[in-house]
Amino acid sequence: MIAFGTAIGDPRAYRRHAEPGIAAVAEPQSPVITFMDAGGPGRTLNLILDEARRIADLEALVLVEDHTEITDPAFCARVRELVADPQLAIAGCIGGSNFRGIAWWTGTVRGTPVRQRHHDAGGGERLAFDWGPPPGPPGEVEAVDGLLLVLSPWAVEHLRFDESLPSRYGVAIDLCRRARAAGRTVFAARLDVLTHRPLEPLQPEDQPEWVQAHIAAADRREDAGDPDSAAWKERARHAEARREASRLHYYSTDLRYDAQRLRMLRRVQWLPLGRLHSLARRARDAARDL
Amino acid sequence: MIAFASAITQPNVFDACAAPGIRRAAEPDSATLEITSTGTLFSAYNEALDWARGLDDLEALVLLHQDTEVMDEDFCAKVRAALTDPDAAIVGCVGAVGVRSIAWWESSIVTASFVHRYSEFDGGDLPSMSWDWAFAPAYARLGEVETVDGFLLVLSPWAVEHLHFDESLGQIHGYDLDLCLQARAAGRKVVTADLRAIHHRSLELIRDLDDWAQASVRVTAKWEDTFPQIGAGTGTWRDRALRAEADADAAILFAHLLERRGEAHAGALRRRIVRLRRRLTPSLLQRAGTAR
Repeated sequence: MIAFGTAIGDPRAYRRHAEPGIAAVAEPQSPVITFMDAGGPGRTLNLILDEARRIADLEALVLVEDHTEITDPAFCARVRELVADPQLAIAGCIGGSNFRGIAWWTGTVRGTPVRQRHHDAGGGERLAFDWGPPPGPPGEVEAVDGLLLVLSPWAVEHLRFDESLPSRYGVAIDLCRRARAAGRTVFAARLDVLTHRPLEPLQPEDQPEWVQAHIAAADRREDAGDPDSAAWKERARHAEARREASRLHYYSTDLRYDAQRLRMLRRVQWLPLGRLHSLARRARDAARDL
Repeated sequence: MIAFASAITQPNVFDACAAPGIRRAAEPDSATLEITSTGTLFSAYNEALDWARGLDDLEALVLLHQDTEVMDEDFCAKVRAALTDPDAAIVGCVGAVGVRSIAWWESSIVTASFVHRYSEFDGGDLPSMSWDWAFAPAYARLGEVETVDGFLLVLSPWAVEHLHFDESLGQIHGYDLDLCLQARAAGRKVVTADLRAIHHRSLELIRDLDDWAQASVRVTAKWEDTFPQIGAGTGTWRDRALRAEADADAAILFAHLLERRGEAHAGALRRRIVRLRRRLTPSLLQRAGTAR
């Protein structure tokens, strides 16, 4: 039996996106476990794990973010294929390897290109995670993104989300790290989903939380050693220089964005008047010719 | 005599930007040097220093980027006024204090009397904070700073004689802070003056992030022992490394998201225009029909 679960942070998003997707692919006997946010993503997801452990004949638990819509008609068949591998602990749509912190897209990316349908900024559809390289073919990775997680019965039985993590960012990555530390595999698979996140899923005001999550992830991944060692100093110097360069790149983008908007405003100021004038003149001339 | 020098990699840019500014600012006896640059900006500017050292009665050497246009007709008078302080070694039109790296804009800017003129998106001007002193913020002022930006540098005869551009630092980035630190390490001053210029440059402020970052690391390594504020930060090296890595990833991500926003707005506007056109055209044709 394949169970589905969602930690609901946004009930409307769940109703609109996750629920229809689950309903479309779930089998008649599939349980759907939902909990409202119980004070942190790790804690809520652990409630779902607790519930799933009580399901007899569990083949897999699929954790779906409330903004994720499963669109793969063969979803359950694909999940069964994945969990047929006894080594597999976690599968997802897209993930990466050889990355630092929580930005999995800065490493080697594998899995399924995920589509993103945004309902803000006039609406539209585009590839999600297009700030990273396009994914390579499905395969084993260090971590998958948390927009959809397939957990094997072993993972449901033996893994827990870390409730001490300070942020929602990095919760799935930490779970993948635990699975791999136990000798199991994490797989970025062919699983088609649509994410309904806004055009800009991360805002500049989220940056402190992001930084905290990055540090928390590093705390768990890397040998702490002497925090003031020469190696850390060298890494800090390079990282800080890279940060200033990246900020400069951001400022460039910001300037380009403003300049682009300014051009649009200039054109809009002229366009309706010009078009109306031209159309009115044509209409008047047409009438006069008669 | 005030001399002008510019390193040229794109003659058409020099002809359109720096050359008119030099003609506007130069005095009849001013010497000018156009360096056709094939090496780095550092080496071209060292060539300019060598040239200036051979000039008689040199009052100042003005080093201009090829895309910098001086706007002051009384530029030379302003330069002379700024260099009346015998300790003033370097003068610029953009300056900052609290500088910790070659990213001087991440510190406290006190003077910025220039316009960034771009040609993309039908072109536009971005006046900086003290371009028009009537609208300058309360913290804007002229005077001593820690560094000035390199697109317009005025060097005193002392600076021409004693300073050099350190070619071990890289190709193009960081020479301005390094030169200012050399002057300050020798007990001289770096100051800003109300020198007004237009910097004709792309909105793309950085092309190669790695190249820039490496130059920043080299400048920091060179000066961190002499100037403790260079490369200063809080926390252990580990804290700083992890925080900076996260910040860098976030900055790149935000830049990408901003591009997305721009694309989405442009797309939405195009769709609105198409809708407007569809609505207007039949309605006006209908009116024409009624008139008939």
